[in-house]
Amino acid sequence: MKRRNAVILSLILTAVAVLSTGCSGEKYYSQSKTVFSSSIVFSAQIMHADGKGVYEQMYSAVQEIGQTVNAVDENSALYKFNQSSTTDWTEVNEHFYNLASTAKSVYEKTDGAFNCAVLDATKSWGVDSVGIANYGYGQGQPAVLPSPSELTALKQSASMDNLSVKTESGKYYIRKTIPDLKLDFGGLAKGYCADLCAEIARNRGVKSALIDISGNIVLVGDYYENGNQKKWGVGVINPRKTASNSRYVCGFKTNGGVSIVTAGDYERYYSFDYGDGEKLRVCHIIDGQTLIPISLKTGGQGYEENAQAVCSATVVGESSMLCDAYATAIAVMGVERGKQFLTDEGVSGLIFTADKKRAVVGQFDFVSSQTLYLTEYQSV
Amino acid sequence: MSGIERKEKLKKTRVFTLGDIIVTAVALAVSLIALIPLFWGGEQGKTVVVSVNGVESEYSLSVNQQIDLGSMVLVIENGEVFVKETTCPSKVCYHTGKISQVNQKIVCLPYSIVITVVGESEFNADTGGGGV
Repeated sequence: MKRRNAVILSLILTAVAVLSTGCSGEKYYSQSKTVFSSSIVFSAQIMHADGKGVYEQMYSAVQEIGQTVNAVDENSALYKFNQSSTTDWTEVNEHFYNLASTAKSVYEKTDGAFNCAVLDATKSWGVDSVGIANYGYGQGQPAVLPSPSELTALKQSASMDNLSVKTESGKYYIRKTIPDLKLDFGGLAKGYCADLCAEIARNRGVKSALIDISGNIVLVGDYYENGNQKKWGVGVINPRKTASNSRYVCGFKTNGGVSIVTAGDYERYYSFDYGDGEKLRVCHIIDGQTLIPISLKTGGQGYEENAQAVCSATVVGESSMLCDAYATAIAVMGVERGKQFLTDEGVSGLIFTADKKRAVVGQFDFVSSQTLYLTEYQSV
Repeated sequence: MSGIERKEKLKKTRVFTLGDIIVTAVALAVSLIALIPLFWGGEQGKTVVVSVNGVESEYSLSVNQQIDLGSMVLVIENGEVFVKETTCPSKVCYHTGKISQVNQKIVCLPYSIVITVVGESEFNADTGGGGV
């Protein structure tokens, strides 16, 4: 008996040792899957008795949106709309309508900086998904960059003024007023998906969840660690990260109930060399008015580096769809206009420029150990 | 119960025999070995950074989960990460096995996937300029 006690004691001691490396309290269910033709990763951490069930419900919703508005999926309603030359009203589902109407209103609100009608321009620049797959990550470059006359020709169709939307008897309709209009909701679809996931979480009574659609984040409720309520920590990726420097440009703590979205020139881009050894960054964010990638400006042998360009823009607000669109919009607008826009809209933001300056709009609870780009942007 | 009887009883129920001491010593040794990672194993990772074509995502090593990257399925289990399935012919990543120590890597060259174990992250989530 005594020996058995000692054995039990030994088991307890071992268990304590092993468990002390783990944690206690309610657990998050965590899952990640690719969505939208494997180009986007949908991750979620969900604190709920049926976390797996909640994730699956969210995943189905995201897949359904993907099947509607994936611009590269030949079976999607958006692909068919883009291919069609009809200028008659077309009935669409609620997701398509919501994205189209928001894209149009943000286009108007940002004086065209945020423009979902630039699909042909992104293809000309080789910064659509096919182009990035071909040239990105140091794999090569196109023979030439689009000429100014080519861009001028594209400008006529590249306007959201060519799109009309309406609802009638509970049904949703859109129409293009010129056959060449092509839409791409890449600038706000992830946010729209994240909002729907957050709604599912709230409807299912989820206490705490982190929804992350390729960096497009929504925080539902506060974070819980070992049963203790805490703030969430969010790290903003360093837009000029190298192997030797910090992963983050900054980080901050925040309570739940917000979305955080970042747009930048550093994940989807390729380098272009005119032959003089100077590498120009050609990024996927295109100015909705000039149709030139934000990392470039006209000059030199055609285009040259835009040193004052925004290389990372983070927006914190309630609607993830609007944060998504606004992040892209302020990356296009530049620091001066971007700051003003965020202030007018009453949302917070962090803007970093290629020449390593920063601008902060609103209040942030920064994590002191993670801060680069300390030079404040000075208005000119 | 007389004083003598009580002494006798105490003798019979003596808490430790030599055997008990040996078993307890072994138990303590096992416990200490189990605790080593806690104090000396600063190398045990907390987070996995998965880079696909240069686009990074972070996952906690303390949350058991499966990560489907399309061409590869990763599993995080009991603080370790490993490749469960891959469509790549060489399967080098699959044969790398389980990793859990800081700076250990699984690399898949055909798909440009690098999986790195890193130390504790201060952040629950990263926000970056992905977009499509």
